[in-house]
Amino acid sequence: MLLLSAAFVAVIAATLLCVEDIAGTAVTEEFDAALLAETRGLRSLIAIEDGLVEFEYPTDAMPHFERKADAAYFQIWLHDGKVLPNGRSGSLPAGVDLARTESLSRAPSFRDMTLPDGRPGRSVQLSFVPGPDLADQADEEPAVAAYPVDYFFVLVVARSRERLDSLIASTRLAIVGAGAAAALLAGLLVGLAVTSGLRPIRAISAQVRALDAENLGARVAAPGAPSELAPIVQQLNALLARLEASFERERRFASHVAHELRTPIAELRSLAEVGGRWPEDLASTRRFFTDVHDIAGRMERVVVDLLLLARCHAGVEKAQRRPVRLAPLVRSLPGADRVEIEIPEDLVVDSDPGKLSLIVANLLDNAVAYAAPGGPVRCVAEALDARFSLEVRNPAEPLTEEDMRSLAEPFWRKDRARSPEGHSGLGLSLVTALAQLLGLEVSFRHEGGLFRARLCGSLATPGEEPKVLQRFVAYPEPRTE
Amino acid sequence: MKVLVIEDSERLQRSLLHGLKSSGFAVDVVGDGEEGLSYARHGVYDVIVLDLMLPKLDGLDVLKRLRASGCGTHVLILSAKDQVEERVEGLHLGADDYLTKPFAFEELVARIRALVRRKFDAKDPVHRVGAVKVDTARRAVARGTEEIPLTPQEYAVLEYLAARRGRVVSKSELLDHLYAGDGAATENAVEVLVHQLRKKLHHGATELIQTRRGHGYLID
Repeated sequence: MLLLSAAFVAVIAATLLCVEDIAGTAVTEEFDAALLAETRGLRSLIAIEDGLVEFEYPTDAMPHFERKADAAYFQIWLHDGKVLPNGRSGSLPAGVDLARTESLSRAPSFRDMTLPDGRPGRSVQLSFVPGPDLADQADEEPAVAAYPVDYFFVLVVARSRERLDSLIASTRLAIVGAGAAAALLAGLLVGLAVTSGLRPIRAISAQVRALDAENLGARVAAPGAPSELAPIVQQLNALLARLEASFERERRFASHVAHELRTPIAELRSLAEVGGRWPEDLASTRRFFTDVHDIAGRMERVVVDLLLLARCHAGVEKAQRRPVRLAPLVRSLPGADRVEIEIPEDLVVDSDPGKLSLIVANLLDNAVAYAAPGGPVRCVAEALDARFSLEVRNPAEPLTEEDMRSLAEPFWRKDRARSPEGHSGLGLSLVTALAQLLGLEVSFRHEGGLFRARLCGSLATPGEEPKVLQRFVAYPEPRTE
Repeated sequence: MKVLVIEDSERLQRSLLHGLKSSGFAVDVVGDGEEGLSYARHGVYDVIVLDLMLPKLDGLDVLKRLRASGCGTHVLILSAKDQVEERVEGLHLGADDYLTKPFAFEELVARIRALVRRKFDAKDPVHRVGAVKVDTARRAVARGTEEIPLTPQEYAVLEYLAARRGRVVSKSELLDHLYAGDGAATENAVEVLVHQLRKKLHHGATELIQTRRGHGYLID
């Protein structure tokens, strides 16, 4: 802003300098014109009659050429360089000549000089041939040859330029003074304008500076801001809303992780304390060790799922696609024996068998665990052109819209207390993340009393033969008593 | 003293059952809210340990219905819910204490004992009966500086009688407070316990535990 003001002032100053220069020139030209007029007056007094030069000037009418103080001067030379008798103003001290040039140009030539009395002055030199006929043509340039050289005169008139200088000085002073005032005012105005124009931006900047992870719920407000700023404020607030939602998700996630670990830690601690304090009951102690092992397995499963989820979200996890025969893959999954499977044997899809297994295993596990009474859990797949769809259906109580939105959120469970043991609520989050990795469309809906989880993806290119699938093991086998 | 534990984690059930039993409590354990409510209403308990996230009936609902039905048994909530508002809500609904998971087993036992003392209006964890001191915190009995070794069951009888000092305690009341609800113990077992207790406490002419025939026992 300071820079802007300075630039503004500089432009004004430069303009004023030009104006001052023009004004000075104009005043000087005026002075010169008056000087020249007087000189021409003097010249007209020179006449040649019968080869004799006559020059008389009325001292009364031109007293300034006679007096000693505040005087003006003139001097007339003949063509041969001699001074015309009585061709010197009375004001010229004896023995002092006015300066002249050797130029015989008939155009008047002006120059600044020092007057014989020491004051600064300005003179005009005029070379001419006397005669009324020629007077008006003095400025023109008639051929020199047309006139006898004998008749050439040089006239120099000098006058003090003190008044001119003081006029120029006062003009300059006026211009510089007005200019400085104008520049100052302009600078001030620009400053004020910029400051008031920037005020909303400053206000916004202060609000943004006050934002951090703890108060992302705040929104930027800029009352009275120009409409140009409105989109910026809107975008800022939209960004804040996105950040807030994302931070909130992270917070919820961290709190869920902590909460998820609370129960197994409570169990571990209680088992360790009671078992350590009363170890003599060997049967109980042995049972406690089995419990500890199971708890470790459950915690390990949560951690494995979380790591996989994190790897998917970080984009580190890679898919290795190849043709996969769907029916044997689904049949090999743990819990498949509790599900009615209807998949054509010749259905071969293009996918990563390990990750696809994990997806379907989680869907089946979920469906079996949360199935309401009233029918079997079914897994149905079919081909449609170059695509396939796979749907896992289980009878279920209706879910609210809020439930449907939260389904795939990590650790979400409709009713934590009613969730089967070992269900941490990561299954559908993993399904969603892995499906995205494999380019599968995944959708959940509740229709006709059934919860339906549906996958859609590409079939394998015909002709490619799938390799024989190994039995899929998603997690370490739990130890059983 | 008899404790009801309403907790759905089987592993926690096992360690709590073992630990509380070993600490001298008679313990019943149930795994869901409905069963818990039914046990709490029909059984005789000195303290109820209640989890909040329970299948079938939420822990807070169990507590509300229990209090609404006029049951005044001391309830200790044992929950993973650790937020201030959650703890406050539990206490507002009539819980007497709140312990968050994970917890130190020692602390759980100490809090249960404190609730037992409150039940019998005793601030002092040591009951003094004549020259005999029953230290409920250490579960130790001494005459002067001399420790009297008792089995856990003998101690439980003495502690209950001392807590109910000045009142006649029937054999069935003793049975209710000393044995878990498996119905295996009989009044005869109580008589045997009191007999052994008297032998160990015997000192001089006066009997510490008096018999009110047809009514029960009394420590005066």
